[in-house]
Amino acid sequence: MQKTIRLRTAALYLLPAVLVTAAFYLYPLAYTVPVSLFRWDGVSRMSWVGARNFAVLTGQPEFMASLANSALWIAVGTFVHTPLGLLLALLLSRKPPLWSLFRTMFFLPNVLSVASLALLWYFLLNPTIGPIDGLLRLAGLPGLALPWLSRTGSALIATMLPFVLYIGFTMLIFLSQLTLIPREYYEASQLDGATAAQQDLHVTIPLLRRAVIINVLFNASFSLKMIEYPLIMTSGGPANATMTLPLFMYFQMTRAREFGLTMAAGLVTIVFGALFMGLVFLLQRAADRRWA
Amino acid sequence: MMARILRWAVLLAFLAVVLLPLIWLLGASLEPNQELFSRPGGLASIHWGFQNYGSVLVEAPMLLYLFNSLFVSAASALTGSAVATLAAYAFLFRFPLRRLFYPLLTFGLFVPTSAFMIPYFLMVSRIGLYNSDPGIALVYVGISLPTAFLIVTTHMREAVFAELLEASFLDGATVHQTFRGIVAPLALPGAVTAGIFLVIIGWNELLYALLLSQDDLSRTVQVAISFLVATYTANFTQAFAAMIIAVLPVVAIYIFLNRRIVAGLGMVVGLK
Repeated sequence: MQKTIRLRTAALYLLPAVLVTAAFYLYPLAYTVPVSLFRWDGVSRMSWVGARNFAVLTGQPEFMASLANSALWIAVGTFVHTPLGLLLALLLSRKPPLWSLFRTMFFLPNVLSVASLALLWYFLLNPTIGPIDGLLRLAGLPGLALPWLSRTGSALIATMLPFVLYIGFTMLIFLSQLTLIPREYYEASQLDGATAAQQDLHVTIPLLRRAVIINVLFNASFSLKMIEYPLIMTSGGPANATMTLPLFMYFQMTRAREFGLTMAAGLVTIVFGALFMGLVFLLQRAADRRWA
Repeated sequence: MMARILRWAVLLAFLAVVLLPLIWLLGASLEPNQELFSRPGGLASIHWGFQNYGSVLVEAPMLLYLFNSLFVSAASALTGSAVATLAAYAFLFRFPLRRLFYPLLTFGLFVPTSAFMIPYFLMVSRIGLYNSDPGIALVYVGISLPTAFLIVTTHMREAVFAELLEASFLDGATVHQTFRGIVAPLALPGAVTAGIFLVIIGWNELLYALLLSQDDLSRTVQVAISFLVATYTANFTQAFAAMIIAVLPVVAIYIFLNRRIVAGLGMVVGLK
């Protein structure tokens, strides 16, 4: 039984954290809504434009591209990155030789800064000095040795490539829930003659629901914050092919100095994220009812 | 048998994706720039040496960038884990509005904080911390508090037994005395794990370091990295050396503390 303390006593311990939360989450959220209704360069007087900022945004090809691309980042995080993380977690959960070395190595890129990975992949994909095109030429495929980052058709995929391949974080979250599944679940299905793949499909994966949800949410939030890969690898080009919402906001703020438009795009980002995460929660509840 | 070969092929392919780029980077950082261009995309060089590292450390204000990164990551880690530990202690008890405060301190985990470029920038500028290490560190405390709070709370729930608290109160200790005498020492490992996470987050963050710094005075290593293509347009191998220098500290932390980092990740998401 937990001891009950007065709110005044608890407040002494909560105060610093509540102040930080108010300053960095509540106040910015409250600030975003009104400022998105003004035209403002950050210095001179703000002028009221109402909802016109949102009309301006929808008329800007670079904004529409950033919205579509950020949605694609979330989709790739959900449907490519997360399943790959699950696959590797399932492989490592059978504890093959050296499995903990594999685990350590797979997570290594996730402790490196995204900025340094972006620059590394910028060079790896470089058509002149990059080893990827170099190997393609060596393999007798000079036709495939293309400037991947500067072609509209391939640039977006190329900026997502390190995110898709470095699945360590997602894999670890799956692994940490996998270790919680009681052995007996498997013994029962083994007696029924289930193969390893059948066990994964019918026993393990339904029990990993919570980890799936957590990973989808983390990857969506990572995607909505994605600025390093496009900023460093392509500057959002060619022709906005790799523009993301944060990069659009960054350019609107620092180059165009359109603070009102930046905040309007910020509001779109937050609402977009909230809608996606709300949808994930609804799906989770449906799944819980299905497998409860 | 086929399944076994396939499993190993997948594991080894992902291992190659992690290791080969890093090995290529390390190799290229050790060679003269001309050689990179004389054998495009190749993998071997004969004139290896550390001259690129020497030039990067001497020519660019790399030591200043490293200091700034160290400052912002250490300052935000110390402040963040202290703030998180204090808050986590309150949740060992029942108190009015407890059910309101817990989500308040954790919902930020999934908020896309990149939408707050302008409010953060204006806040830091108004308190006179624009273009300073403390300004950047302050924002890092903000963006990483939910992570730190979840790690410390999860750890504290398990490390501090209810019986210990009861015994302390039976001895007549107050809530504050119990924190100082019993809970703080037991919570330390959790606070340290949170601190490690915050050091890594702080060392690696780019967007706010970029927005809140104006010149070398407060530029971090990540900001320098993002300028590298422009800075060393003709001298890529020096850029590679700078990249290795920039990632080396976190690689070292990871090599020594990877078990702790893996455990901490489980605490963030409440899976143990």
